[in-house]
Amino acid sequence: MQPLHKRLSPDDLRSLTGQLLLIGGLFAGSVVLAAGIATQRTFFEKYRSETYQALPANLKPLVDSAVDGDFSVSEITQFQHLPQPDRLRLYDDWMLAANPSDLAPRLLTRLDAPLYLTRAERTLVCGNPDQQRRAVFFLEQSNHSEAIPILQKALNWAEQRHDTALVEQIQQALQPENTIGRAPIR
Amino acid sequence: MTPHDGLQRSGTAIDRFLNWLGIHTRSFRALLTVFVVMDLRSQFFGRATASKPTEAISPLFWIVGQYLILGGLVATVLFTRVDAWFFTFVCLSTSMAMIGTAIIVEFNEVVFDPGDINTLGHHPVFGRTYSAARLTNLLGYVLMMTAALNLFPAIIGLGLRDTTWVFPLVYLTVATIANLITVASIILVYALWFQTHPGDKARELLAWTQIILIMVAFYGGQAIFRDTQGRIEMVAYTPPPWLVYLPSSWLASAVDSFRDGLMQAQWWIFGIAFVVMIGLWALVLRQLSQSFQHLSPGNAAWQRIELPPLAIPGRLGGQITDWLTRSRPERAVYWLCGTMLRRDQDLRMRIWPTMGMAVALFGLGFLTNRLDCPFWMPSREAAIPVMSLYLLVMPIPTIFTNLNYSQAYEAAWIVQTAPLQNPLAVAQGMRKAVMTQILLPVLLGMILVLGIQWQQPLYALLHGITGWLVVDAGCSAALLGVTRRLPFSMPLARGGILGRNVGTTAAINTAALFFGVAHVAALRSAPIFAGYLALLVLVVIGLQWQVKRVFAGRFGHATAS
Repeated sequence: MQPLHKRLSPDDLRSLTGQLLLIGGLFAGSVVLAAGIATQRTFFEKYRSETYQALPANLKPLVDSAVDGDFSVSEITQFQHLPQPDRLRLYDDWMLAANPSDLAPRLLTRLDAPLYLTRAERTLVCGNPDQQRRAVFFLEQSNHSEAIPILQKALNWAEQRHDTALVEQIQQALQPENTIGRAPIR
Repeated sequence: MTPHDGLQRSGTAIDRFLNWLGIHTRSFRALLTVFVVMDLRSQFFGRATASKPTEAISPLFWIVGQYLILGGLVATVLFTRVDAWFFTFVCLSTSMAMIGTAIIVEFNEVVFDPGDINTLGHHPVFGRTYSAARLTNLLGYVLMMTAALNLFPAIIGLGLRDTTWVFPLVYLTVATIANLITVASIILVYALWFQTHPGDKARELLAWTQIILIMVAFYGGQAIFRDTQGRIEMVAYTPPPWLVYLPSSWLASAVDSFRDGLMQAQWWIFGIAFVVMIGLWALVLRQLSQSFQHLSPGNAAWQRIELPPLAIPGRLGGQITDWLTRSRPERAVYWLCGTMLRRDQDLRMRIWPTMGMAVALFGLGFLTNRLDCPFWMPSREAAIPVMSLYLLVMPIPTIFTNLNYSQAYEAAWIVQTAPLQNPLAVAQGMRKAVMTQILLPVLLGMILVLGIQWQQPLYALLHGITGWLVVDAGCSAALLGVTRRLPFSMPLARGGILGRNVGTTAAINTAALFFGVAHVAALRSAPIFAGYLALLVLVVIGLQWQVKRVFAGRFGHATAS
């Protein structure tokens, strides 16, 4: 029997059998590659995270006040004149903080609920596990009634995906003893 | 001879089954072999993939490879980012769209070719045998393409968090049913509605539309990986309401329902899809059998061949050609390039796909809403309209290189012996043909879209003028670096297109990218941008002056003096 390289001359490759063999080889290689990708979920999930921008110096006083949970009248005016990207920097800074304030989420959602609740929802979907945990905390601390449907939807989504860590965190945030959505919004 | 003469009474189980159906096994096998060989040759995909008849790798191999790549790209990009329903929905939709275009492109090869009468008419092949061979080939083709498009999604989907071990099996079954329904629908639309087979132009267009789609998947995938807004994840998280009206979303729901176990699965969707598939294929069989019966000499199978009319002797081109060109030699070369671009399919298929990168990036920017006006908001979102202009430069060296070659190169003696006293006219004719007949339509399309998107026609016009200066500079640079022979005067040789001009092409592309970055940087203020525009004008003038200087002596003795 001739070795393979002698049996597969260019003329043999150009035959019907040769072409079908080539296509079969392509499929076989693809099966191996696809199986390799399918088994590397952890590797792919590592690259799934959000990036946050550093806070510009001019917004630092606002953040300091937000940490205390209250804005003065002039600071509210300053906030209202901020463009949307700058308002989101406050959220970014809260996400990057080593010890995030539990008063800031309530203040921020009081001033611009659609923007900050949507942003936190995006973190739940696109963030890594640490970022997701902090987004759940943000929504919990926002004490905003509209945070509840967001968390419930995220809970269903996480249950479908068998994301047990996220499921537990959201369930804990939605416990009846938590005050989320119960406190009056000033 | 009757249809029952020559039936083999013995042989394998398949032979006996074919005999039972009244099919001649020898004719069936011979026809099927020929049809499979024709599938491998695949003339339209052959042009789209630049495969030559003498090459060991057939166009079908490249197409299978392209489909595997497309399925792999889509599945990998979505892997771990979206849930199983959205993953299945996108992969099924892509598969259905691709098989739909493939079946139109390959209609004559795999469905029905009226030209078969010319080769089979005088052979004793009966209708039933011919129909069986055609349909077996069609089914095999669809199954192979379905496997190529869905192999990666079926296996990669198994790695998702919310799928179980049955996913590959269920997904492949649904994908096969979906593609068979798509193919049957397209055949019926052409048979019942248009009452003809797809035209050559539509098939050629679709052949390379598929390549553009693959490029969109490639660049789109990169955009998704770099997207800081998580757009694709959010669309999957809250899908648009209109998605529920798409058949692929119903089928995706059926696949997704298996997550909760076989008892909770939406079997009824499978049942309906299966019945629809059987019904459509029964109609297809009936329709194709009728078409096959009409395959007889003198019937509608005979098609008229019409060649495009030639220009009136003594006048080349119309009024626009007169406006664009300055001398009769320049007009002649302009007309020659335009005519070859219209007539020579190989030339078109070598040139138009090179525009794919710019068009794909622009289309991607449009689809992901990243075509902000750079004059208003010099941001990352506004970089795509700017860089699209500079990506138009990248194919220019390849275009000019291709203008050197032609299958009809032996006819170049007509140009070589023509009394061209000024070789510069040849270069200017080529440059103007490339600019107005290839680049201008693409640039105008971009400017039109941007004008509507920005609601600022003046800004769109300014953007267009900048783009025009950029492509003008690109054309002059490519002329200087690439064009050393009279147009269409060289035979097309394998490897000849890219091999000689890699350095020039790389230099022009690098310069284009450099200018693109400078353009983005110059948008910070109006005076800086005005300065950048002035620099661009100087570059254009400088290159044109250089073209005049160099081409006064180029082409050597090729031009008569």
